Amino acid sequence: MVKLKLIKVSKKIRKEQVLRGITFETGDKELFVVAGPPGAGKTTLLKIIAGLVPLDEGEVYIGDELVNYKLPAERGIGMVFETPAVYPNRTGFENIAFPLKVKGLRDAEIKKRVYEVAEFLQVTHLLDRKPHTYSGGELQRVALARVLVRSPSILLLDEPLKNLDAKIRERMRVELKRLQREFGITMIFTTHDQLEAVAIGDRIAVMNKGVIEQVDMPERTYNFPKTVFVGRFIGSPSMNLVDCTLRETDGRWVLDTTEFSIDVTHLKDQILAKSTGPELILGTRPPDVSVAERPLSEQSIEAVLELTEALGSEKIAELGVGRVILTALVPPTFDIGIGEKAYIELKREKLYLFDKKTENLIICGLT
Amino acid sequence: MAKLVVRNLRKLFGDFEAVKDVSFEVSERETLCLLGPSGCGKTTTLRMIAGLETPTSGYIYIDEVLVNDVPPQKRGIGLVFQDYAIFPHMSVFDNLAFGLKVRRTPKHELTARVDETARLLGLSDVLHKSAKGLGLSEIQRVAIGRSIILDPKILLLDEPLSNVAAKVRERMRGELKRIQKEIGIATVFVTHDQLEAMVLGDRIAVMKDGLIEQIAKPDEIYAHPHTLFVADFIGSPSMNLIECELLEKEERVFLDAKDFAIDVIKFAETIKKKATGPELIMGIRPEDLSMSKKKIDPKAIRGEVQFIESLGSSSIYHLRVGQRPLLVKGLLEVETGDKVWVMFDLKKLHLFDKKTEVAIW
Amino acid sequence: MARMEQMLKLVARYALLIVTILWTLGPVIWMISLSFKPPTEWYSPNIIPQRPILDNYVSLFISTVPIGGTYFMTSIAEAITRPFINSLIIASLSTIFAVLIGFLAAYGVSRYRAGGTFTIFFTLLTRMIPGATFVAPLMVYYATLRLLDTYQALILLYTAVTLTYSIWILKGFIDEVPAEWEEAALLEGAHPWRVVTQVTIPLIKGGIAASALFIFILNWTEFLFALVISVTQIVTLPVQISMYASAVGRMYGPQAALGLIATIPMVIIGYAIQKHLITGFTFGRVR
Repeated sequence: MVKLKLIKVSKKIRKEQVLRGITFETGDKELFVVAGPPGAGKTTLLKIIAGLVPLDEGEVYIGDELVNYKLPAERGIGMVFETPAVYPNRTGFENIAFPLKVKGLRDAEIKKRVYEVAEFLQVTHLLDRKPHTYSGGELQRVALARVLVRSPSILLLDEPLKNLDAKIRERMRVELKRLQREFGITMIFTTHDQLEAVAIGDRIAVMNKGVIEQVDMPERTYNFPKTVFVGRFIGSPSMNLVDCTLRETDGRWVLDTTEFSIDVTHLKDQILAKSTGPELILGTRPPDVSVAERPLSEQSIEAVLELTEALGSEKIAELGVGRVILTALVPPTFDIGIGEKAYIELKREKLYLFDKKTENLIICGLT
Repeated sequence: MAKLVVRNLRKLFGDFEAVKDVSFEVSERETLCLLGPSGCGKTTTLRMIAGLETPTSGYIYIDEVLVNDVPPQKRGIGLVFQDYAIFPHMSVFDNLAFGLKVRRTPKHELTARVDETARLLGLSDVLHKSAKGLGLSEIQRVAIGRSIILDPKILLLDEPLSNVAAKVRERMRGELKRIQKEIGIATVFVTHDQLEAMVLGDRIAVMKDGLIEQIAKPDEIYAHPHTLFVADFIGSPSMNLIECELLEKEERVFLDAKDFAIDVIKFAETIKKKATGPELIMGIRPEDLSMSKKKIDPKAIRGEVQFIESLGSSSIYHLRVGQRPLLVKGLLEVETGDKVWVMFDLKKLHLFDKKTEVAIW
Repeated sequence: MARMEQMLKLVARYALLIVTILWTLGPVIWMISLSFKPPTEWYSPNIIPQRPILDNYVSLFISTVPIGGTYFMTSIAEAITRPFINSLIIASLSTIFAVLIGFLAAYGVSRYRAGGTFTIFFTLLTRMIPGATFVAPLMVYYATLRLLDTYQALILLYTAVTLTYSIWILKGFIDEVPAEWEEAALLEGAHPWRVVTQVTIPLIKGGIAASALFIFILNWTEFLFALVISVTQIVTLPVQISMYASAVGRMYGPQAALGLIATIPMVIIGYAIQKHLITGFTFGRVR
């Protein structure tokens, strides 16, 4: 059973608190993704797990062992860095064999293992060539081979797909997952691209400014974001977020966004109990915003179409409601012209309410 | 004549033919995107238009003037590099004013033009801030500002969004599109990201190995790819491409893909006329396939779920049909290992001759 | 018309090149020709000697045998074998020490920010003060330590002075090696020393070669301190050359030969490591 557990890990680098009380646990043989914007502290986190950077506070457990004081080489960890550790002055074979040479294995054994891994990753044809002839994807795989040849129990990858072409990224992420499954290894990788995290992660940890905001299965981070940041980070196009105020008028309680309002009389107790004040944020995802040429109900909101972006199988439409802009995902047959009027329907069960001050989720779904 | 005309461009680097034969035109107010994988020649083409590389043969006309021998600074182009190249130690104002200062523009005109450009790009608030503390999207806008302030005839951008984190890219994409519409200069930009191309380009030129495979509007390229390469490159996730053979047995004419077959009797004649042989490749986009847990349609094909990528509002299902992998995009409550039934939308089926071309749509 | 313009530009460019080459190599070519000429031809303008001789070179290595008679000599001319060897020893050892110590310092600064932000800039101070300023104090210093006229004195001095260059050049190259490449090796169990010798150094071979050559040239041609510190025992080549020049007055032949011989070691080293200089500069980073 190889699980990774972190308890309250903190790290300060040159006066900046890079990591704050990081606590999470991965499952055995899990593909765990740490997702967050650049500067969130993901690389530092991985380096601390690997033992390359000492932590200030907290504990790291691999398996059930406390590894705080263990050398990187003793932790049974393999790490693939953002700039793949493939040395340009050595051939593919020599690169992959490097860790085995360090271990002091015999030449025959080294050769056997290198060829095994090379075959597994389909890089056998690269073994006698030097890295400057490799493509981006091939470089990644040789870096992976070098790490896997030691049969580590945990694999850490720092933004492994960042430097690859968009198309190749798509394919490589599936390959990564396949590899993880076939090799049966606990894998942790970091990325700034939420799509990657959500597509192949078994569970993801959404990180922002040194703090983990939510650790959950991808679908849950999508459907039940715990904070404004998670709501906005997960999902593309990003969630619509509109400031609003909880107000009472004539016995009815509404969320007033200054351009339109939503009746929440039956939820007022819940909202009042969980919020720190009347200032709130309303969130809804673009796929849940429907747009029509005519008002379909009393709750339809009038808007003006400002911009469309064609994405192939669907379109993004930006609609202006006074000073508020809402983004919607519409089918490719959508043909309302720019500058024309349109009517928006919001799905109440897909509305999220966050507290403006704490940015935490108050209510999920306003039915 | 269009603002930019490129005809039969060719570029050799020693023995390597980076650009083989590229021709296209860009009108004023139009944005053309050169899209392709690394090494296809798109950046080299851009550099030739800019004047940073000399074509081995071919012609480049900017505003009806042949510019092959004209140095870059005299061509009337604005160039925005991949890493934006602005002066970090100067203020935004000075960055924008730089080109005008070099040309000894009088002070009041200079200030007026800088203010105008800043307003256009939403930089009026940060005009007097140092460039060092700016966010990425602002830096990009300053870079664009620097190139358009000199009133170029065409604007060239080299992979404008590739250095940017995914989330920020989304926002910057929208901004870039808005700016393009306002400025209205003929623009050419280079990218390897097909999504970027679809959003920002009025027309897309898909390039491979130094040649343009297809040049058309985004919707057109998406719906009617001319070649196998274009079909595979455009669209995320990639189109399913399945080898098959056109067979006539008894009275049926169908495409035999070994693990399943599709009846095509209605189009048989058209197919036979355009194909060079019975070996074909059929293509269907993952979003044009539908799945169900029970067999509703008699023509449905059986597959097993191998792997699911969940994308939030929909998921990509990696299925195995017999020996073949098949990708379907949609939303269905299934788990790995479940069996599902897949339906093909024949209207969205693409057929390619095995030697790469479209036979029917 | 544009073609004509282009042709003219080309001709002008080549003309400029040729003039520059002649200007730079002219004296060298003349020196080579002089070194093979007998005394009778020293003043004649022909480049190729009519009766080439090797005596100019030979006489350098034998003391007191005058070429062309004592007419030209104003004092005894010594053989240059000793000074040549002295220079070789001192320059080589100083270079090796400077590169070695410099590498360690550069590595510390690059990877561990040794000394914080400012210490590294202090090393530049040694280069900002003109040498002539501390010649006198240094001489007294060495005299007190009884180090005058010893190998150690010059080796110590040259190492200390060129250390700055060594540190700065090597730091630049070390910075180019991604720290992650070293971390990968560390993670695999390699001892930090092994990481440095098997990962970092092979990757910056070119940089080491470049700085070694640069420093060697500096050391080899150093005159001021060598003049002051050496008396009779460890005369270095530059000092010897100056003495020779004043000794033999207008014996141009041997002087030309001497000048050429003095440059030989640097040419040899430069030639030998040129492959490394090039591989060092084209790092081979992918995309």
